[in-house]
Amino acid sequence: METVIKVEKLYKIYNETGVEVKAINGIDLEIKEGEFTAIVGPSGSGKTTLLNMIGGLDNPTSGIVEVGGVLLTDMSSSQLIDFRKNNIGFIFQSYNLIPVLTAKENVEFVMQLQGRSKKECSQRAIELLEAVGLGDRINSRPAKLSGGQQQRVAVARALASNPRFILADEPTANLDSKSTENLLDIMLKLNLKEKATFVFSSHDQRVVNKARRVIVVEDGKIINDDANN
Amino acid sequence: MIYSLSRKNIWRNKVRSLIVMGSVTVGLICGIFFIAFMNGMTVQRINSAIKSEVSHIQIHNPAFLDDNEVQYTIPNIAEITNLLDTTSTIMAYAPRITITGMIGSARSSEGVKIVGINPDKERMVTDIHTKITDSVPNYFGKKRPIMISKRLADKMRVKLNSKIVLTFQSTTGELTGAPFKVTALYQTSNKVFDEMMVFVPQQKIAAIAGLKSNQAHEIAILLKSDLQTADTKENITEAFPNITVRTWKKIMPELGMMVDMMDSMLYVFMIIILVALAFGIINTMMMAVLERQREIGMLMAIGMNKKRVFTMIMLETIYISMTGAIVGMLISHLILSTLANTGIDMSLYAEGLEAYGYDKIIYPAIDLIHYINISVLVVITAIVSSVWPARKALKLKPAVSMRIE
Repeated sequence: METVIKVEKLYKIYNETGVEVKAINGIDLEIKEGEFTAIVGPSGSGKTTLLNMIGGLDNPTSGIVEVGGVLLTDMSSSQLIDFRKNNIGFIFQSYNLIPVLTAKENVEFVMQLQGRSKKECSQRAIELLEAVGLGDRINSRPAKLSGGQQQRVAVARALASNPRFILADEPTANLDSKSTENLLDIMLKLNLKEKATFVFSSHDQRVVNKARRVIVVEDGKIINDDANN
Repeated sequence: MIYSLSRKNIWRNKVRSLIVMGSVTVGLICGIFFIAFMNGMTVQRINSAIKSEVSHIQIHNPAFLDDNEVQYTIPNIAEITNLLDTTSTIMAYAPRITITGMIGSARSSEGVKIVGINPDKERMVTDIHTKITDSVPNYFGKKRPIMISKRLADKMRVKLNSKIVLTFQSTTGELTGAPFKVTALYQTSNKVFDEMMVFVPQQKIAAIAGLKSNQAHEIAILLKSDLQTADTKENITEAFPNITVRTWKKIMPELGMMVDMMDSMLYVFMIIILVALAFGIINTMMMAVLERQREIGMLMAIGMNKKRVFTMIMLETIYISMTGAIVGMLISHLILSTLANTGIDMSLYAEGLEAYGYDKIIYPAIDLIHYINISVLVVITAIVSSVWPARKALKLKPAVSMRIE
């Protein structure tokens, strides 16, 4: 299978208060197409920072990040926004749904950013919400949904733009065990169906158990990678 | 999509949005009311001046304007009146004799302007006949009738049927005069006009002054529309270059200046209100952006570009401002529609107002163009107010913003 995410000699060093903090301390990583990969590690290990680099949300201090054959480290912020819109779906720890929009409108939003027709956006949004088990809640606003339901809407939103990559930062952190189980099953199912490459960060063992590949990060370095075992 | 999202965003914090809208509404009501009040005062004063005092255009012999001597009547008056009869923009005209003289009673005497009028022509041009407060029947049909103002009558301690003497210089330079009987009393809102002007039949005063019955010192012209003043004046001047033709703006330059400056002054006032409102709008939008840092970071993360983020913030600002503005304009319109009929009673300041020729009841008036211009100013204010908060939003980094609780 093709390598779709490549990270080489990646460093991210913060120096805000005069003290140097190496959030990423020399990471080399390759992820193949269609993988369902978990990046695990304790708090402060650099998992979120690594995910942000892969998603083009943050710039490394040094090193390269190549996603889908495109060097993100060479792109301007406008180019990165465009790249993310068409290639990457995000699932956030706190769901981050737009509170004034319904579930359906939240899912349609990214597709509308891409300039797709209203009909297409509507059809795909309903299809995805049904796929995540929320076909009967399409007109509910986030405030009327449970945490698990909101996260499922977030999953549907992340997939709406037909991205090649789904990046999820601690997607189950705010969910109970039953919701976590449901969400992970949905993500696995969609990984196979939509053929998107899933990379998510977590320190939840239940999540780790479901992943097909586990990368352990500590102090900004990869200390264990299933792919090498 | 951005329009819909922006519209929904302004209702996230209903109280805050309503407060800002309310401030825009109140600010606009105050501004529009002030504009309408000042505009109404100005329009009333101008209409009153044109209708009661100076008309749209006046014609004189140039020498008469320099010296005010009785012998300087308008030359070629027959040809001039022929032209006026065939000018389509003219509603009516009235030739007059005007002589500076003295009015004397048993108790006092005052300097006045004696205006010899043809009542039938005069009532077509001015509304002085509607200002009569008291009169004898057929008040200008008497032997030597005179109409004076009630103010002058009170000052001179005369009344209806009282005898007064008019004294003035004739065409030969001799001092002459004649007794007249007060047959009508009038009152306008212009104290100075009232104390200066006395009206007598043209024929009577012409005979005493040594003038022919068809001679006149002044022709007052009332037009069908004020907009035709400049063109009509030009036409008459071109046909008769040896006479002086003046518009009301030239005869009463203070009024002309008021008209020319009024609009600018009123808009300056409106702009001051909007600048003050802008600070409130900027503060509210800045708070809205800072509260939504995480959301804005997320929007940029999922692919909303900077132009769309900027547009979203700008549209939110415009929606809030315009909603307040539309409500403000509707309420203003309701208030002004009512006041246009009832007027605002300024009797408390009547003396002061009448000294400057203003009526004590003011009818506020505002044109549609003012509403349109104010709407444009509100949109500009909103756009300018949105720049700083929008730039703040654009500076957000998604990775940093999304970590904010």
